[in-house]
Amino acid sequence: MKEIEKISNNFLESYIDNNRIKIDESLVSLRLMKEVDDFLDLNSISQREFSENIGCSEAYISQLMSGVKKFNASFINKFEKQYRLKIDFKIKPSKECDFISKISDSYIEIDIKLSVNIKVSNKPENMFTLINNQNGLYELDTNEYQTEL
Amino acid sequence: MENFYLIHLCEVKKFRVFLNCSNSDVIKKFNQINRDPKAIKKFVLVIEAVKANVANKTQFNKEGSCDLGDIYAIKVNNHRFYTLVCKKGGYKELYISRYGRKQSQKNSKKLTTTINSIAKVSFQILLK
Repeated sequence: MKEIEKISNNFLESYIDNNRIKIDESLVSLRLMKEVDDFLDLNSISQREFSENIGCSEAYISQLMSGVKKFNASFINKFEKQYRLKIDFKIKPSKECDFISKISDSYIEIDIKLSVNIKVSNKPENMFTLINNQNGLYELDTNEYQTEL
Repeated sequence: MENFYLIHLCEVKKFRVFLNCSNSDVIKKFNQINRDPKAIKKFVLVIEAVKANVANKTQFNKEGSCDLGDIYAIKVNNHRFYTLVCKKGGYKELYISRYGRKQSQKNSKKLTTTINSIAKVSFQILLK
C-alpha cells in the first residue's frame, strides 16, 4: 500500500508539466532521430558503425536516440556527407491554420479551416468561386485544393 | 488478477499509461527511477515520444505480440519495462507489466519467459 501511495503522488504529471519546454525540444530532435533510426534499420547499420562512420562517439548517438541530447547542424552535415543524403526540411501546419504553407513556381497551397463556413465551388476550368448562402456564410465543397497561378 | 494503476493520462492525444502495482519488481524499479533525475528524464522522454509517435527503437523496442496487443520494452539505461500496447475505446494504452534487465546471453531465456508471461496477465484497473 505504501508503494501505491508513492505512485499516486502524481509525479509523472508534475514532472511533465514542470519540464514541458525541455521535453518539447527533445521531441523535435527525436522526430529526426526516428528517421535516422529507420534509415539505420533499413540499411542494417548498427549504431556503433554509424558513430564510427560519421565521426561521433557511440555514447553521443545513444544520447541523441534517447532524446537526452539534441541534434545540431554539425550532426546533420556529417550524416548527409557520409551517406550522400539530403535531409529535407518542410514547413507544414500541425493543425488547420490560415497560413500559406507552401509556395512553389506553379501554385500556392493554402490550408483552410473547414469550420470557417466558406463555400468554394470547383468549376471545370479549375477555378473556384465563393458562393454566399442565405445566412451570409460560406461552405467549403472540397477539403483540399490547389489554385493554379 | 493483477492491478494496474493509471499513472499518466492525456485526453488530447487519447493516451493512457498504467503501471502494474501487483508486480514488486516493476514497483521497485519504477520507484528507483523516480529517485534518479536522469533516469526520470529518460523514462518521461520515452512516454512522451510514444505519445507523439516519434519513439525510436533505442527507446521503445517491439519484443513480441500476443492476443491482447503488442509487447514493447521501455528502455531506460539497463532497465527494461515490458509493456503491453493496445488500443481501447480510441485510446492508445500502455500497460507496464513486467521488469527485466538489459538483454544478455545470461538472461535471454529468462526475458523470453518474462515477455511471454504478459500474454497470461488478467488486468484489473484501479482508479487514480
